[in-house]
Amino acid sequence: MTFPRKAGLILLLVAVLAAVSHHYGLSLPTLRWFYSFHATPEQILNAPEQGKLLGIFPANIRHLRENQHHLAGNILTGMVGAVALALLFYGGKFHWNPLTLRRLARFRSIGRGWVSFLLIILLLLLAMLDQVLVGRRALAVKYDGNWYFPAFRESPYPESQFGGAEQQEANYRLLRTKFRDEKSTNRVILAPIPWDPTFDSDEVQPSTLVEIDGKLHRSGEREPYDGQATQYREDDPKVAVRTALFRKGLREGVTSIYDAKGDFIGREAWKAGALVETSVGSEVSPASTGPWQELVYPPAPPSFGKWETMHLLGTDSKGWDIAAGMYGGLQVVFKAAIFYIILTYGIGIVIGCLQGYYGGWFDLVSQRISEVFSNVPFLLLVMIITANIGLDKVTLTTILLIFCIFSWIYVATYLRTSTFREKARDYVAAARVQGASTSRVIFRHILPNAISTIVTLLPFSVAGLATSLTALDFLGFGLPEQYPSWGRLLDDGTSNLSSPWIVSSVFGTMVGVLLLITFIGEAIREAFDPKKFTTYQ
Amino acid sequence: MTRLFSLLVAAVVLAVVPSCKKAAEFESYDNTTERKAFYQRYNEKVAAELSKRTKELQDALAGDLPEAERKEKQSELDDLRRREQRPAYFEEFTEADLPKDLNWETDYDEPELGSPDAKKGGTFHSYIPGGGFPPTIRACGREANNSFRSYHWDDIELSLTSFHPETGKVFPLLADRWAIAPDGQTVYFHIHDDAKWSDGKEVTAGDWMMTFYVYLSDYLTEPFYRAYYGEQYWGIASYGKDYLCIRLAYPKPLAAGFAGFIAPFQEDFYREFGPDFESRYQWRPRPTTGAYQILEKDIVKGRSISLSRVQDWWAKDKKYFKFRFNPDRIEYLQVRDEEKVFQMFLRGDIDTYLLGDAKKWYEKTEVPNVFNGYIEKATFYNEFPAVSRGMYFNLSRPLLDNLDVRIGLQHATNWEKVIELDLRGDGQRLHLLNEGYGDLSHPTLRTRPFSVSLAREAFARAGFTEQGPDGVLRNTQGQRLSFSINYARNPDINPIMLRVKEEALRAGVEYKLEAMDPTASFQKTARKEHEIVFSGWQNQLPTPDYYQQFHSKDAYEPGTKKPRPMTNNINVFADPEVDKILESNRNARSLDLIRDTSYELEQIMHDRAVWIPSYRRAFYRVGYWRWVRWPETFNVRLGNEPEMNHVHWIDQGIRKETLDAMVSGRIFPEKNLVFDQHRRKNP
Repeated sequence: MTFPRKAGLILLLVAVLAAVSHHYGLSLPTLRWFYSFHATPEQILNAPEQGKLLGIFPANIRHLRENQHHLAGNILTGMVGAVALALLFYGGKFHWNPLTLRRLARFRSIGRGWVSFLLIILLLLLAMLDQVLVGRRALAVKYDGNWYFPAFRESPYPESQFGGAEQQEANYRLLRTKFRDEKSTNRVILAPIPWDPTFDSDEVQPSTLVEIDGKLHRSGEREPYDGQATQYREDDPKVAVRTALFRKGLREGVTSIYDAKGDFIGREAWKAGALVETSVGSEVSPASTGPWQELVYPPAPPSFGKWETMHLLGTDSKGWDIAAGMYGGLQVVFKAAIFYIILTYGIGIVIGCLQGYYGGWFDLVSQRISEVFSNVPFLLLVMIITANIGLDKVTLTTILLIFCIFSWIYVATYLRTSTFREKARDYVAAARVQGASTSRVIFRHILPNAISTIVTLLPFSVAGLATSLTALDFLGFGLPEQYPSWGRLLDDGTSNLSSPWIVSSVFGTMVGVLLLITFIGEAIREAFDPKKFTTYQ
Repeated sequence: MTRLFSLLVAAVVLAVVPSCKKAAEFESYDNTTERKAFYQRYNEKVAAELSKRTKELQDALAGDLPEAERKEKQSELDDLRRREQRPAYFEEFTEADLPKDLNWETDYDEPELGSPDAKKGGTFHSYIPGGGFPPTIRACGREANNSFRSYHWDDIELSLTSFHPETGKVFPLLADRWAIAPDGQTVYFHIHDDAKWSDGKEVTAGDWMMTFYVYLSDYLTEPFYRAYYGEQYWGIASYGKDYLCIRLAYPKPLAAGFAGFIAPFQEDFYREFGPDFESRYQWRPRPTTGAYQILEKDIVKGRSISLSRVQDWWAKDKKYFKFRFNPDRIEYLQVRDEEKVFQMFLRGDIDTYLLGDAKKWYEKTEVPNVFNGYIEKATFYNEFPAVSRGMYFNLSRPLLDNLDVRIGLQHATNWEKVIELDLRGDGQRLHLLNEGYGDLSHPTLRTRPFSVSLAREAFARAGFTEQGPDGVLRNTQGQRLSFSINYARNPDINPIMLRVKEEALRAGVEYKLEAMDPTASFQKTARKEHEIVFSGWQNQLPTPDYYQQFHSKDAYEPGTKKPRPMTNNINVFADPEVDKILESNRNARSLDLIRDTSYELEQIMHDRAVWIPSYRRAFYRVGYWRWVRWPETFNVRLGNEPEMNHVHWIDQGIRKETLDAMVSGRIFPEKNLVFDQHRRKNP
């Protein structure tokens, strides 16, 4: 089977699966994206019952808005399906250009680049697994003998479905703890990282301190403990009995005492582990208290205890899981990169080819326009625009559109030059003499020969996109909080340098991904180097 | 090369010379005759307004009126009649004209302030809040109300009387006795015989005449003072040099404190007050009745500004002053970055630092200088009106005009988790609009707690029963429970709002966060264009005020449904029945009435769920180098900052000892003190 037919088959499968799963109310990883274009609630409320679609056709706009995601999803899957069918039908006669095959072989032979490419593909596949890997909704729940799959359903299960009292969405992490404590046959299977990338904060985590030779220690640490610690009632581990300051593992300074309801009743003064002064008698019997616990507030360091409380890379200062945030950020980067490439390179290639091929007035005017665009300070403009629409209303599409408006110019400039060069060659003249149309000359004859410069640019512009997105978020002018973002994590990390796990996670991930992309870029440049095949005199 | 060098020199000289220009010289100016004419003109103006309004009221009362309005107009007319008996605003009499039947009182029996152990001398190092250099050292006029003003004006200058910061009672400062006339709003003061300005001149009644002249003059850019002194006072009269009389517009409890709460402008110094007042007085050091003055040489623009203790201060041995205002000099450094201020504090360049931020208190001060006892930490439980911080609903907005929706929102907003997580359990839930007024605050009222089931019950009552796929509740018309919260962008507040948003979704509410620049946020709220705003008022001593915030005259433009912009009624709350309670609360003549009406108002606002109270802190906490010493009880009860009452002192011996110890490696016991004598055991 030829390459386009294989691609067509996969695309067809994707389109059909997306449409069918949506029809049955399922939410499959990545495929759910097709049907995610809901109208905002304001758009639905503001839409008139009787209005004009695009100002011409009379229609029930309200109804259209309410079903916008169905419509958009159907159109998108339809388009993908159509492309797939076209590929299946017309892809039979496809042959790889031997030149391209040689380039690809050469690319494969460059070890570092090829491995990087495979790694990036692996990352892309992982990113496409989506809620299977990262998310607060459980993959599967067994309750009263029935199996439920909350992560793969569009509408959430309320808590009451699994024995809770409330109508709020079930908290599967708590559910898992509950089932385990009850020792019932009910089970919860969570995603490997059971946290949403955003708006999913952890509670304060108590960590039990151990006593060695009468001095408190953090478990596994040699040095005695310095800092605050709290004791809770044994019968009710939510109510504090006393809070004390420890120095070198011993009580020092003030200890606050609380009553049975957790209200403050008095304090004691301690010195090197000995009671000096007290404002309460022995009202609290020490037998009823649990061990001393350190309360870990966000940002919390990495912890690997139970599945439902585990934070592989710790939490940020908001209490959001960093591993989930990094994963979400990676998804955003991939998503952005795909649309950015299609848009920027689409516009850039067409305009660049036309400029180079036609020349003359068209070239002169369009060159001036791109000069104007390229002299606008880009980051500043993004800031002005996002500040004006309001950070909350910015979407990934807005940011990408602004990016594209400014970045097609570089693609166009490169392509214009090479089209200029190719246009004067004999094979172009030959094609024209044979009666090829202008578009056929440009896109079938010139473009394949001019494209190599552009292909080598591609990885680097993806790297540029990733850094720009991060930089914007870092400065606070990028995407709103509901998008996970490396930039915001980096910002959080630099303002909390005493919590090194934040900044090192972001730094590590970013450097890793950018390095991979750069290695690929270098390998492609080498593989596509025209000097290998032609010589100029 | 030489030419290049000389060119360079010339350029440098050219750049420097213009900046060496001497400060502008102002021609001398004497406003005495102008001022006398103003007194007369102002008196005539007041008289004309009085008779005009009287006539209007009389005409209105002669016609047909609803009973409530008639009563209101009649009481206004009665007030006018009383004022017409003494219509002049500015009056000058001699001592012989004083009413004979005055009942003079004073209060030198309140506890002393500060500690007898206090030592005078030394320099106290601090910083200018906000990081910018103060734009002026004037007390009024353009940009005078900056963040530095309280340091050189409010905390330093003395008024006639004030409220004792431990007991809250009226106590004498520049006046040594006072007499309240039977009407409860006219107060006579006698100025202390010893009271002197820092330039040696005597403090006289004329200084207050000048004060009122300045505040009412058109030369001031801010209309606030003209409005405030014109509406809240009926007039001022001097009786010779030593006596004066200030008349309030409403009878009040603690009238002597309210009327006497005005710091004087020295008559001689402000004689040049005229059209160019703002530029003329921009940096002109003024004589003071207080303990510290700013000397001209101590204004180092862009670097620091210092206060020096007045040599031979008139009040230095007086009962309420002798242990206060101890350091010889207070230096306020300009540091642009707050984080740098904190580092300078840890190094010892700055003597004290407020450690309200939990991260600074628990983590960033876990450093050797604290362990070794060079820096001490203290937590002081104070009693001060709490900032009424919370989420205020705009009741003129759809959905928010529904009581059940508002009650649901109160249950849907998880301030408990914010307090537990973001404030590290150091805050406590706020319950009242005016909390921290002792027994004037409602003792038992509790706000509605976070509860998903109660919230959903309330929303169901309002018709919101269906839950969409996004988890947000909607009603049969498709309206969603989605509200935007407007707030001033701030690194400490942002995570809190994100937490509130995250938790509200559990109850089926979507909060959209609208973080704005502080000024823009304030303007949007003032124009009543918000849905919910997260903000707060710093309530003032000694009594709570509900009137400004809830009176219906500030809710809507008269006769329309359009919210009235630029008023403090940010809830757009309007209820004529409640107006009556608000008025009697504001114009109450006894503390009992204020208490009763305050309880009633708190209950009403709770029942109507006009806002979501957030959190408060019952204490302030501070880190200080050990040479800064404090009284046994640390500070005064009624204060929200450790330095504002100047009870601390610098111990030079300890300073030397500490600095030596830091070199030799000697250590002291670590100190982390708690002063909870004013802590409420069961809040």
